[in-house]
Amino acid sequence: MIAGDSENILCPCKDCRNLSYLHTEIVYEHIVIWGMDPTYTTWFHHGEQLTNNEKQHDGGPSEILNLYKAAYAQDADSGEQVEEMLDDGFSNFLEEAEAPQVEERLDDDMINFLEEAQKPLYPGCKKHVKLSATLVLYKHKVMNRWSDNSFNGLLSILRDMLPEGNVIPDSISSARKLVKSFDNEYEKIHACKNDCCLFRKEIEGVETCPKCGSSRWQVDKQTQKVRKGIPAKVLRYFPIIPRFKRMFGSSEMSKQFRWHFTNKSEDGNMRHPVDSLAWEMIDKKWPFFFQ
Amino acid sequence: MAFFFSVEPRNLRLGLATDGFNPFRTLSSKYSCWPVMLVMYNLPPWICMRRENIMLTLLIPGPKQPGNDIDVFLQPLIEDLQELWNRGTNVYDAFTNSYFNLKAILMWTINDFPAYGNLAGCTTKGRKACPLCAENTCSLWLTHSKKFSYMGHRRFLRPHHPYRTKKKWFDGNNESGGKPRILNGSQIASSLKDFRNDWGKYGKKKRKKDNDSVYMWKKRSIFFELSYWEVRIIPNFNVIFIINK
Repeated sequence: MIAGDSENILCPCKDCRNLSYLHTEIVYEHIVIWGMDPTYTTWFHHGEQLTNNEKQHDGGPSEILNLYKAAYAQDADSGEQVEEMLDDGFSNFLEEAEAPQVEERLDDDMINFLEEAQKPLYPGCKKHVKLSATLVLYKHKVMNRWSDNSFNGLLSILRDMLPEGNVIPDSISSARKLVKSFDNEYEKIHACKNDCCLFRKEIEGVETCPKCGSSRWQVDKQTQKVRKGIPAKVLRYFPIIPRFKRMFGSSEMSKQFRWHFTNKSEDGNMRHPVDSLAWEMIDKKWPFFFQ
Repeated sequence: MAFFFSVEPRNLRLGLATDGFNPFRTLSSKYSCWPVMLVMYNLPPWICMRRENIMLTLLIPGPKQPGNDIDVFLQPLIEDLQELWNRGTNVYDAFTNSYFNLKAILMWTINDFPAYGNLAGCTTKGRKACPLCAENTCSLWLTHSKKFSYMGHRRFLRPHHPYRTKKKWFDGNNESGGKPRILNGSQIASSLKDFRNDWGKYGKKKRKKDNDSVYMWKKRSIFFELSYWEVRIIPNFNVIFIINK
């Protein structure tokens, strides 16, 4: 990893941290003034070989790509398609597709559903399963702003063209259903239009706000008629507990959740909230106590 | 019953971030939408701030900003966070192929200064604008500019610092005061324990100036419902940046 000019190398000092190519004499000065970066233990930028256990945390796309590949380990070729999908929200769906590997903790409906989604696109297909094919097509539709009708047309053509026994969805609505079933649901909670209260728990069925008296439903401005069924204000709550459960369902993510435990900085520099005082206070206050 | 938190590395450390934005492209419509997001600090730094790992938990609609009534909307989230602290939830860990009891703690909030006032329930404008100094905020009303100026910064210098006696450089006075005492979380919680919250933007009465010590507090924040929140050294609302208006 040496640049064209052999006098310039990556500077491993605490300040540059292998990010800039400098003349060897300047690198020498940097190391004398600031010292070596203590986290740079295997000098892979300067010719040393990395052993299998060591990982190169260069962050960025390669890490995330590996996570998604692990979640979607069909074939090396599908890696390219996975890369395309990285930039938009479909990454969530790919991660959740890993869930089927651990079947005993899922209920029967979900198991059937996941088996269905993992079927090869057509008998003998090695590149795509039903889910991946649907996602690729749906993404293409969305990115290019195709109409629903044109998409329906394409699906029927593909159904005709692909070999017998293909499982491509037959319409946009069944494609949407397939994709949506991996979604985490969210709650729509009605709220008072003056922000007095949420219509939940004890006042779930109430029609007017107990505090200000305004209607729960929208009121038509011109006719003053109450449009029952259409709430005046809706709060969308995305429950966190099912989402955390999903995240731990991916073995890669689950491994990453332990990072903070072993990566507090040793040189006193703050690199992550784990090095902060508040974190230390929490560790000391609540390691273990009896209720 | 034993309560484990820090010994279990998988227990979650969360940060709450919120701010308002206009979701419509055309600036002609004034609409304020307030998403509330959770950041998971367990993750390594190259992952924890990525878009896909910041969880959107609440979407508070407009058209006006919720202001101090944001507590009403935070109720479902705070209830879940309480559950995750008090009891935890049984979660399957795909890395070890086993179940464990997951707990979570909310460490701080990330917001700008006006949102800080909304979440904490303290005033951020006017005479007692500083949430840390509280009643000891040094403020000066400028009659011609018609705004408040906060000139008490020399109090934080060491006792015999030369700037303390430089009258003309500052506000025309010698500064003999010391650093004001910062209230800690439990003091704030106890002073607010009888505070009656008044939600809603309809028919608000002007508050009386009866009790000076709680005058700068506009509500008892819903964050105090979390049993660990008051056990803080200083009011733990992180300010990411301050908007200069």
